[in-house]
Amino acid sequence: MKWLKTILEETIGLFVDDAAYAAAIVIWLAAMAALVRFTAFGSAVAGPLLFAGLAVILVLGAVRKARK
Amino acid sequence: MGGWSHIAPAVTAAFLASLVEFVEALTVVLAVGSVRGWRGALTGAGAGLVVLLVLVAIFGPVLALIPLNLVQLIVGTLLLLFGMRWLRKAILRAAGVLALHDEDAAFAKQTEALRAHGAQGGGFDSIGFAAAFQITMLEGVEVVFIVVAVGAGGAGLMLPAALAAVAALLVVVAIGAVVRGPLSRVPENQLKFVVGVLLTAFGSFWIGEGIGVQWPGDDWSIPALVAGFLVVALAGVPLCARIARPKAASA
Repeated sequence: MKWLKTILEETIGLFVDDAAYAAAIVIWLAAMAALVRFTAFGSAVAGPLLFAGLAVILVLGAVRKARK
Repeated sequence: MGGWSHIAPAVTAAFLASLVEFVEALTVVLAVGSVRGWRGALTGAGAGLVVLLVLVAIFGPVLALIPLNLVQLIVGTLLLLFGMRWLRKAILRAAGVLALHDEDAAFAKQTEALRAHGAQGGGFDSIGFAAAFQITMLEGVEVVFIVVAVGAGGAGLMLPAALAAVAALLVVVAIGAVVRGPLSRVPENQLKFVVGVLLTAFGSFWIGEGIGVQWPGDDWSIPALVAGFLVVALAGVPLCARIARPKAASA
């Protein structure tokens, strides 16, 4: 059953190979969801903000890896 | 939903992602076939494909029973995690921080590993079968996820996404049958860069839909997100290369 364990590990690894990077993405998504849910203007501004935050996370995540 | 602004990026993402994954699987199946014999290699790969088809047949209809907003939120989050992981790796590969994927090297490594198991006996080759089955499953699970994820995000997307994956499989099998060697000339890393951008854009859009974002231009935000993430990712390449270069020089 080693192959099954390998497949399961690979499947989880599809989404998370760096916990800090994945956490930053999920936290930003939660922040945008809260913005839309709890403010009157949230749904109009959350789209561009969602993109901007993810772009920053992407670049910072790549830079962090490049420094290691 | 279901317009060209949705279908074209979904089909492109499913086709290119599947192409890359099937090329990687083909390398190992070819190594198995050339070292252990073709019966084990082809039955292993065939069994893997059957299991993958069953997974698509199960998860596709199940997702259709869940409210679309919830599917977009869950699948969008997974797609975004998956896409941003791919995209960061693609940036780091393009910047020279990570080694480029080399099918010739992968083929040589697999061939050596399979030879280490010794000669094949006369009966059914369980080692060859297991190696081909495992690689087909490993790479195929990614294809299934991408097809189901991009297909579940909007009405009428599942079939085009699935057909795109099947087309990629047929292209790789046909070329593999002619070349009979690893497809090392396929620009895998550039394809992964493009797929990472597409999946990240899709994931962002669907999460937005799921949480109630009013996207400017509605569905036309998808091409805008694709362009935006492409520009950001391309800008990240020289930045990472500059950071990594002094480190490499001082090492």
